[in-house]
Amino acid sequence: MIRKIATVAMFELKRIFKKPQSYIIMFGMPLLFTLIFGSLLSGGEQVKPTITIVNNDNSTLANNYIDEIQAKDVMKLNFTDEDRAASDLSDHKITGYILIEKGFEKHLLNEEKLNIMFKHSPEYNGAVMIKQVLHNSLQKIMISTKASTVYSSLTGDSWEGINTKISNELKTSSGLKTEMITKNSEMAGMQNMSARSAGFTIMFVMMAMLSSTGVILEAKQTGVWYRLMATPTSRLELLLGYLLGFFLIGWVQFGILMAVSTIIFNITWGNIVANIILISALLICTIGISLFIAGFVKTSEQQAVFGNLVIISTCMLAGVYWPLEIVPNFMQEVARFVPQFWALEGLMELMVRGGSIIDIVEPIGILLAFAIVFLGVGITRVRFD
Amino acid sequence: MMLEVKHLMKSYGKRQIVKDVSFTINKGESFGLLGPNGAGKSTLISTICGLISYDQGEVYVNNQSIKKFPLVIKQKIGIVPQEIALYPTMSAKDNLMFWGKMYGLKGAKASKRVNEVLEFVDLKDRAKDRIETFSGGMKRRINIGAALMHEPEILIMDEPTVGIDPQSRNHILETVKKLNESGKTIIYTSHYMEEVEYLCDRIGIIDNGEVIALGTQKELCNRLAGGSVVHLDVENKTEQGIDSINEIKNVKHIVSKQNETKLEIYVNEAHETMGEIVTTAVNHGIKVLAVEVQEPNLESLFLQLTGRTLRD
Repeated sequence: MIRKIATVAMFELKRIFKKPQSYIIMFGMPLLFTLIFGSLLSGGEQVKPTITIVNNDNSTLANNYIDEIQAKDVMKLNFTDEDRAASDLSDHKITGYILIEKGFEKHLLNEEKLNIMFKHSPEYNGAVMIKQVLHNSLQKIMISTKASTVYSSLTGDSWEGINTKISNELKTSSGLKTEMITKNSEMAGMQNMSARSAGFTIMFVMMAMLSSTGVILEAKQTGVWYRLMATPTSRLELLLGYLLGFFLIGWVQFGILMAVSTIIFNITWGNIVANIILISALLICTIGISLFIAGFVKTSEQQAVFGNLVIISTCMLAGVYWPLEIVPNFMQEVARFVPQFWALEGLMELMVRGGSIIDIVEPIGILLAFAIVFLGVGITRVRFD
Repeated sequence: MMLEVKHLMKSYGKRQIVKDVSFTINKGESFGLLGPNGAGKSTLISTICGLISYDQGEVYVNNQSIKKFPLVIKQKIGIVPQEIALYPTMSAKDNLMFWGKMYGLKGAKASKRVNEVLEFVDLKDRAKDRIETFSGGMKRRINIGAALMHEPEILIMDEPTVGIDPQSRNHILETVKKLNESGKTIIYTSHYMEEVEYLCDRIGIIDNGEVIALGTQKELCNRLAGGSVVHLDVENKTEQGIDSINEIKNVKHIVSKQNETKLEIYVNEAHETMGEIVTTAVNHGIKVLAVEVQEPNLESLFLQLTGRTLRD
């Protein structure tokens, strides 16, 4: 029994690698897509907006405020008067300007309402981020100013001297490091190249699996299936032989892509054992989906067209092409219903957060559940007669 | 007895494809199944090989039921399907090796057998070439070779010469002849009468899922009433003239197609009756340009039994 299963599996493996186009689809395309989408979304060096500061107060606190904004390092700052800034903005020479009105320090010390204006062109979509930076910096200045005035009233020392000390103290490292542990920060922390590499590896493995399982339909079209059924081979042996063949093809592809992406893109895949289990679950699930599709079409051509449509659209949905964080919330929820989402989730856990097998139990379980459903239906749809 | 088919029935829905078919084939015999396209030959073959389940009846190979021992019997049968059931992107050698392994061959024995089969089908020099680079005839030869890998006791060939040039066809016919002479039992299906006549000891004529005649070629031809055919090339064909020819003693049937200048006249004792036929035609103003007599054959038997030709 084992011999027959191995014969079918090894022959399918040999057959796929005899076709030159297999190398392009299985290895060339995923690496190319990873390179293109990975570079596109990484964007090289970040382009910072050019913002002009109009400092009409020119006081100690106004200067401290500007230092604070500068320390955030999210914009390129220059300084000029209001007229020039307005003219530069209308000529699109700058993204916007920040106006610090005269009396800034006085209002701050008297705890009065402050007017800081940020003017920008209507098409600039980063205004919210700039306003946030201005607000946060102002909060910080307000706190340090309050602290220095209170201290000054108690000790009689000049508030300016105390404020400068506080500012300097804040500039030097406090030794305290903060890290946000949210989904967004995890995604942001993950190198985009890694995410794309994992995503496109998943997508092209699915495509290769689709083409592999298409051999059953092709065999029926060419008469090979008829001949196979005439051999003294049981249906179980034949089915297991094919399934093993598809599984091995998937693993050869995944394995090579993992090795090459590690060398070329310097990607770390994480815990090997956990990866093997997760990818095996994904492959079984993918074989199930491909067999499922094969069960509802008549020719390998129909399967390729319909199957690729399903794979590409679900990969888009699952966040293979771009981070899911940039799509609306409801789409992020919908993504949870496609297997690729769970495969990516598992791989991210291993690649970015250095997770172990325990951390990817959920993705593995869900992938296997998908596999049971699709494989179950797919196998029952294979007609042996 | 090598193969026994007993009252075999197979239906797809309400359509009965195989209707109460019974025949036996002896060891070393070459048996032909002759019938037009769609007669049920392939379904019958698939049923005999255990590829399709049957509704009623039984198939025995060496007295073993295909239903009870499907894998044992499949090992004894080699099948050459109508399609080129090979992997086109793989070499001839790879294909033969794969099919050999599927029949349980392994190691050095499998390699030796691949070489023997390649030599037998005369394609040893193309062993490493991909099947897709072969001509139609070469593909057909490898298609036969794949069925010979495990040295089956029975070789079943389903229209193995479809769509190939005459030279390749002759090569295949000679190959089959050689196999039969070496003692192999052959079941050969075709809608080409001349192939079956050339190769087979006994013939079953099948139409609409029924075996309508069974026997040796001689036995079948003896069954013919009006077995010879007189072909007349004529001008000025008239209905009255044709009716008069039809009334001649020994004339059984006339085929006259509209807008054609030919008459096919089915007669007994063709040589004795020919003169009267020509005279009657001339007397009715039909100009006879050429006369040809065709001796009784399976085509004429099929025509007599079904009213159609094998290629209709």
